[in-house]
Amino acid sequence: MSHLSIDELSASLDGSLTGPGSQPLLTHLASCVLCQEQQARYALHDSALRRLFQQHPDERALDSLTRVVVERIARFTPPASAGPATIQQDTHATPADPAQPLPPSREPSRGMRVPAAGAAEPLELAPRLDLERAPEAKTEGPKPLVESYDAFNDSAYAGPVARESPPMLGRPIAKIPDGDAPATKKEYRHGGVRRDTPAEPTSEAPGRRRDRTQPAPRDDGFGMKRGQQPAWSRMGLEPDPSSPGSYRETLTGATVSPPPVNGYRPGARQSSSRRTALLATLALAAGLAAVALAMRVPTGAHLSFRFGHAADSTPVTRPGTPELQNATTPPPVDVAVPQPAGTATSNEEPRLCGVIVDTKGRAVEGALLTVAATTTQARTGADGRFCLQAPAGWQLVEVLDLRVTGAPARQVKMNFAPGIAESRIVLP
Amino acid sequence: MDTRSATPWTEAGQDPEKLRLAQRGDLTAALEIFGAHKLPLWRTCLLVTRDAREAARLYEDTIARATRELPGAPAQQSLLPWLARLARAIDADRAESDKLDLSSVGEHRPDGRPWDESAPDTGVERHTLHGLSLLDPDDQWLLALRVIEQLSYDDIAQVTGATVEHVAERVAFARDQIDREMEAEERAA
Repeated sequence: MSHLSIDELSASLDGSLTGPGSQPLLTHLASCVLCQEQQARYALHDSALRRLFQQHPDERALDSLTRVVVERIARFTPPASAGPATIQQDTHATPADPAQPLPPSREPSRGMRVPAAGAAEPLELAPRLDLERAPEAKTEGPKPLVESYDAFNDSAYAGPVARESPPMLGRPIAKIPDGDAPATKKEYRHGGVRRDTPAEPTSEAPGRRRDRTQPAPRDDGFGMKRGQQPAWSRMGLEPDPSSPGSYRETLTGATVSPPPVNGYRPGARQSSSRRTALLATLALAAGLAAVALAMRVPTGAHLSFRFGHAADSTPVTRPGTPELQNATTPPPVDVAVPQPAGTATSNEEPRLCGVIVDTKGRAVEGALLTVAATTTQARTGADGRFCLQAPAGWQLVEVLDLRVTGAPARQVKMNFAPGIAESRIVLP
Repeated sequence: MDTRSATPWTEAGQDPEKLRLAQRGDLTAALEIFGAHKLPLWRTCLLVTRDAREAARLYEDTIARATRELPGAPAQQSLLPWLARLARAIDADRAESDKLDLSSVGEHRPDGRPWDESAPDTGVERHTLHGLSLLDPDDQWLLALRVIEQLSYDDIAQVTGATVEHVAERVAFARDQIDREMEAEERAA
């Protein structure tokens, strides 16, 4: 008889080699060393696989991971909502029972990475900035900070006729129609210009007629228009002979580096920027004052913002009575995983207890209440009672009657305020 | 002969009421359902990724996707095959997008511990893991359901939707491929 096939060997290993035709195969397997050896190799791989993958992870870590993930996802998955529920105010209800177990906490979900069991690899943190690279050494020699502002001054003071566009806007500056044409200029974004050809000291002999086709000779870096004082002179400066490219104040002799040329701008532009800064500062101060005033709401509650559709009307508060009102707007629902009773919660949030009954006055057990925009859930007990803790003020609460399959969720508006009486919700 | 048994993989609708509550937004019920399947799902993630850290990521993504798609979960059959299919689909998408080399054996065992070269079974385990990584993902899953989850052929057929004959054939083929790979490596050594 031939040897067993791999299917028969595998089935025999799994105990699935049964049937009327299996007996000869099993007889052969009991006597054939080669088939036994091959089957033993299969069994060896099976046992290796079990050892590799029969890992027992930390079940608490898995539970924690599952809880965080479900909470995070469910916060963005609102259940189907329906119209408003019928709410009755029980003016004779007793206040909230402090002996009731605390509702679940509203701790926000954060990261959910679970530490891998047995993995000891440290996290590799790569530097975000290459801080070890030394700054490049400056090999260039000292350069004059400002080479020439004369062209700007020329155009600025030549009058509006000579300018085809306002200066300081990066546009070409009109040439001045005199024979003293400057060399080729390039503009800075801040409006200044510089010359490509460096200024050279004049070599003309006194009284020699200058060639009008050549650029005008310059005496210094700033240049000078005929009939005007040099720019540095108008600024009260003079070149510092000990430091080329630097200037010093004429009166005090103090070295000015860089020369305060930026302070010598047309007055209109300077005042415009200052006016803009002043207006922005005033607007910021007014906004802060408005926010500060808005935070001082006389209700004593913190300033709350509601996103979504606006409610039809603001509920009227009557002191000492339960404050429930039909809700007509379905806001985003934020649900949370309930925690065991007795979990520590914030004492700043008021707790509201109540009871859910049907139209015949019977307690509704197992109804699920979810405070919208929070992570708070509660379920009614056998007596239909529930307790919820939520931020102070009016909150939308989704009530889901789990007794009826497919029953729509009801939305009720409840006022969470300290000392509020017990609420009563009637479900149809 | 029907050899199907009641396992977490095949038990039809362990708690329909709980699933109904979870589908309607009761997170406690959802957590209980997921918690009942956490260990088999973790083993599936570990088998698919063969790395503990990647398995944790896959487990997390699977739970997230399952929570989103819980309203469409099958109510009349076990939720575990549904979860396992989600995990395999997520891993397949990730492997395709990240162009992962799934045929290599890392420096650590799947559970995250380093290989113990002094242990006598280390060589067999490493060769077996390498042979497993070369298999088709479907064959990997069939073999894992049989060897690791200890399901019968009938149960595997029920979980995967394949026929019993196909399951038996593919499990035998997977075993033989692993053995051939091990033989080749032994000859090369």
